[in-house]
Amino acid sequence: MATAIGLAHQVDWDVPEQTGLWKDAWVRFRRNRLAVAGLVVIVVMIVLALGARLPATPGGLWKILHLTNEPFLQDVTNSYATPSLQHPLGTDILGRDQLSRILYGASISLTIGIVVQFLILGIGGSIGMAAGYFGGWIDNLLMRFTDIMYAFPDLLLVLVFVAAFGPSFWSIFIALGLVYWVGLARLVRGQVLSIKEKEYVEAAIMTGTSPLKLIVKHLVPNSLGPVIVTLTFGIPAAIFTEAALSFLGIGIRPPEPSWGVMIEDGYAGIFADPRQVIFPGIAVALTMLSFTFVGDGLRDALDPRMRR
Amino acid sequence: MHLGVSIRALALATAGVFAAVACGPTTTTGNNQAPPDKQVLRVNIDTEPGTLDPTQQQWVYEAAVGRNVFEALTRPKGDLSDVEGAAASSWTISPDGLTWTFKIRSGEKYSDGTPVTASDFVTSYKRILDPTVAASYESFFEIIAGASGYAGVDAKNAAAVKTFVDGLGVSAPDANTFVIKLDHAAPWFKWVTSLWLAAPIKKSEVDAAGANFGAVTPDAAAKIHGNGAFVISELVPKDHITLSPNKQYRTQAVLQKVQLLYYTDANVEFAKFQNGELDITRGVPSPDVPTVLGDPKLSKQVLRGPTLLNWWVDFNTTKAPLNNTDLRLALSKSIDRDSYIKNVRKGIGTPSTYFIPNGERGYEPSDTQKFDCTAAKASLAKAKSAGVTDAQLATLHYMYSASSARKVTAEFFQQQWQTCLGINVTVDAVESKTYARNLRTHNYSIGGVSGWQADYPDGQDWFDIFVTGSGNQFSGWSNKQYDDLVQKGDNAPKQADRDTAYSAAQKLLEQEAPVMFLYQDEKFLLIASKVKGYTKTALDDDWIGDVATPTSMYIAA
Amino acid sequence: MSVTAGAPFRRGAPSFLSWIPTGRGTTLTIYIVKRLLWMIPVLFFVIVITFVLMHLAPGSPWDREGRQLSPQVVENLNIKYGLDKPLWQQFLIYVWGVIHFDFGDSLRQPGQHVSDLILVSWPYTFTLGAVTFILLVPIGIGLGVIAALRQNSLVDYTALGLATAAASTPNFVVGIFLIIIFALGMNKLTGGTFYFPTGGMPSPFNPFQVELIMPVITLGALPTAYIARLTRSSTLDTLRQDFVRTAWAKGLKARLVVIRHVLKNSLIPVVTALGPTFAFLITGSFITETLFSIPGIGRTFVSSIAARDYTVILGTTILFALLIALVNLVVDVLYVFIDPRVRLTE
Repeated sequence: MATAIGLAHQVDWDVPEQTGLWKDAWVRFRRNRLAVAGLVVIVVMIVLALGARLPATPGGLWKILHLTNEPFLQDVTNSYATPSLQHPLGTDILGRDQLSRILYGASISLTIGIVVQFLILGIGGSIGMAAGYFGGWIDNLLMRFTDIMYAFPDLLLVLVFVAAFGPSFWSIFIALGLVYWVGLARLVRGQVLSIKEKEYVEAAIMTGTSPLKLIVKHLVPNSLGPVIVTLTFGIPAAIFTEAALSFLGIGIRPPEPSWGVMIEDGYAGIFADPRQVIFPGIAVALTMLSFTFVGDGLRDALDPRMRR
Repeated sequence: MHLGVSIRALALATAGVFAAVACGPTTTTGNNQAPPDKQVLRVNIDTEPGTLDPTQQQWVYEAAVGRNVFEALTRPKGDLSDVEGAAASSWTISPDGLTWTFKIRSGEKYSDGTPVTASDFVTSYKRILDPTVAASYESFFEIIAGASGYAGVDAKNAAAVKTFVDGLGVSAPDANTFVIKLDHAAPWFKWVTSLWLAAPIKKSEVDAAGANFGAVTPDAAAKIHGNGAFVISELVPKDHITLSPNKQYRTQAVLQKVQLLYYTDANVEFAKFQNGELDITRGVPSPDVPTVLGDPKLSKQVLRGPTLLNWWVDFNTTKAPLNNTDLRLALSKSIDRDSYIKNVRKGIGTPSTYFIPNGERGYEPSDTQKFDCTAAKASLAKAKSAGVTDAQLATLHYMYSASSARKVTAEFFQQQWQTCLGINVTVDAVESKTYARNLRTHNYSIGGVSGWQADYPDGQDWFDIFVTGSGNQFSGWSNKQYDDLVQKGDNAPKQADRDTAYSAAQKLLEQEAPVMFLYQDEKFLLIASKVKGYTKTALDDDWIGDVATPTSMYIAA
Repeated sequence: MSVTAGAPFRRGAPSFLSWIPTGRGTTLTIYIVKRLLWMIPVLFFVIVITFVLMHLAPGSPWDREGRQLSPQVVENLNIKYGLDKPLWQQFLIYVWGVIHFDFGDSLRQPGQHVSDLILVSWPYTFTLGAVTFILLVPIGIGLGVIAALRQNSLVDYTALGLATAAASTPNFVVGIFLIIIFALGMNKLTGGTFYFPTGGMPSPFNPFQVELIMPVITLGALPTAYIARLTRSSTLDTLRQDFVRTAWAKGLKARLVVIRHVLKNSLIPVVTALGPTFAFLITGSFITETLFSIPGIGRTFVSSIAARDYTVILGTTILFALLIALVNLVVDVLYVFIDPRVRLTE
């Protein structure tokens, strides 16, 4: 069946110098215009998010960013205002400026979206890698463990978490990381299982390459594509789960905004004003799109096969 | 479930005083009825009932079935002044007020045609108080002779349970006479006999089903027969229950089918109504109120009216700094309730700084907790001079049970306290069960919003909430003077004496402010224009006007 | 005893040759039987963890907002449902019941057997999930492959746009927008002559009802987007291998052959992801079921947690655990068929 491919495939991979690898990657990355655009958008968002947290000094960056509005200032007589010069994205039910809330919430949503992916990558990646690489009973135990983690109700875990640690912002990372590594672990394991059988890997093993080196040089770069896709999809998922968790008392406290929380709140008045959901939704989509481009660029840049 | 107030859903009868407020869709009877196959009413009751056994029911969505399939001895009159006969045609009370003798209406039958007898009431009253059944609302019935020992009975000891149940003061000297003996005279007991859970049940059916009696299963239609205006004709688990007229009932309903549906999401309910898939909603999401009122079609289908439901915010009076009355008053006086109702709730409800709701005997508007920022600041200064420190104020948390509407409320309060008093209150969202447990165990500082809806329009149902040690108050407040006044109000034989005692108790409650009164609720729901003959009283619950009204309702051609 | 690569340290013939002659059937059967046996400890631990967590979670089945139950009633209810016993006893009683296929009665709905509850709501969820899955696989993989073959084309960017939109809109928003546009909007626009019902599912067994259209989109949008992107990425990986590049250059006929091989080589991550996706779809999405008023098991499950209906929580969790373990077993076996070099070993 796969004989043709297997036999046709020629091992043709001379490992270049380490410095060259990263330099090459950067060169290739820069050539990818979409990836660069994505990176720029992300940097701008991070700057805006940080800027929104600056104290409100008159005439300072704050004023420029917020167009004289503050994210917590209520004007209940002006709820669900339509976009205007004063409120470019309108106001919410309590008359708070939506634009400044989106900017203010960016730091929370971006942090959660990104940091959680690193947690998932760390836990899921290493478990999947170990299971796939070592195989045998290690694989079996790790995979049965993931079956268990998949199956028990995470909502219960969250409730116990709230009871145990109270509404702490940091516990949200633990809660999210603990629950969402499972999918990635199985994905990485599947990749490793199939890559491990490829001739160039077998060849590397036969020439006595150490397991660590093998993983870093062969397994990681070759299983990168699906992992990057999974992590980019994890960003909006983490942003929305944060909202659900904050709703139940883990995470941010009212009146702090985050994109997820704004969408959740907006849902209650969706007939009255769909903009409440659409604007923060666009922010989430923009973030994900940027990371998709960066991710694609990164994968192409790091792909050993593209290096010629 | 989402409102989580008292048993709610109380009986009600014909057009009452407040039915008049029902604007728009209420009409006079006419002969423009649609043909029988079109007499279908689709109503949202939010959640599937937990049980069809009336004695074990507790929620509105359960009463929606129980109240229509069963009928208790009495029911409240339309003007809420008193009760009138339902399954009982008449009753007498002995001069000492201890023995109540009810005559069962002649010809009263179950939907399977068998007659309702007094011993069926003995069965159900005993069932409510049977510790092995563990019916939720036994406490209403503990006034019955012999029942006060309920707490002491070991439910695992069959002999003790039997002795206790056999010793209860309920009996049936003959098939048409049901006698209740009370521990002590209580003028409000008449209302207890009108609770829908005290309905007759067939002993043969209870015995046949055993522990499964009332189970919400597709075969329920064959297993449960009641004496109410409707019968269960179809049950699709988790989807809907269909009610059809009870052919044995004394008044025949025009409606041929009443479908009780379970839509938990308010937006979904709103969409279903607009799409013509639902005839009566439970409410309208408050952000949509202006949309509805501005819509030429929807605004004509709005039904609004007062309801005996009052909302407040609990203060934990067992811990510093909220054990200081002036601080509680300061917090209460700094909330602009008018703005809250007008802007946040979009006009649904009336600002309340009183306890007994408008529409019930004992309603007395009061200014004690009225919004007044200057007075609030003065109260705060007084509290501070009495030892309340800024450090203590900084520890204040406002806890709410997670929901979007309550979150907005919390954020509004937070801003108000900040603006008027300069106090930064931290807001905590918690899940409903956690919230309930934290309130009950006094593990909070400020919690809201709590509400109470009248089980029956009598002061006893309300004032008992704040008596020392009552499970229904969460503030941990205890006041000897209040307790004495309420005891007097509950038990005095003369209504005038009761009124005086209750009035004094109410003033005390408002001044002591263990809770901050917020607003009296208002029903604001949508009802399709083709639905006619709908009436409701302030005691009525969300869905259709309970017992008597469904029989007067019909679908217009 | 798990799926693992054919021992990389073994020399000789390509590994797939070494086990095919030994009889694929026997190896596979032994493997499957062993994995099925492994489900017992997995289920046991799932029950243990769930049991501990649900009792650790604050609040009891009898806690509620509003009118409280008297302490005596709570005590009697605990006795009635055996919750007065020590936890270890309750646990043993429960496990003993499970061994005898007795999952107890619901605490919220007295007299309602948990097994009946699951049997009633499961078909709705299964039909919805299965229909979604059957549509999702060809659409997701198809879009992914096309996007990869025509990288950076309009098709590719359109697919990316759709995927991003699907992933960055939470499904309750997708659902309510569908209702607003296709149910309310159509109804208004056509004066009531044509519109989708906002929900409901008249028959739990009919996969062809109109009512399913909106829930399937709501439930399937995100997983389809994910599968499409995953397929695209994986296909690109394969396309870049040298032998493929060479073959690709040889003309149309060769290209068709290549596509078949490429697909096979790209499927490992897709199949891995499809496993849990399928499990997720048929264990029900609480939100989709709530929005479209489908009486499925997702709603039963979430409301049981909210109500601390212990027996229902455990019953549904056991069902979910079984399904997940089964689906992952299927995935592991599929690996072998997709890529014979991946081997089942002890």
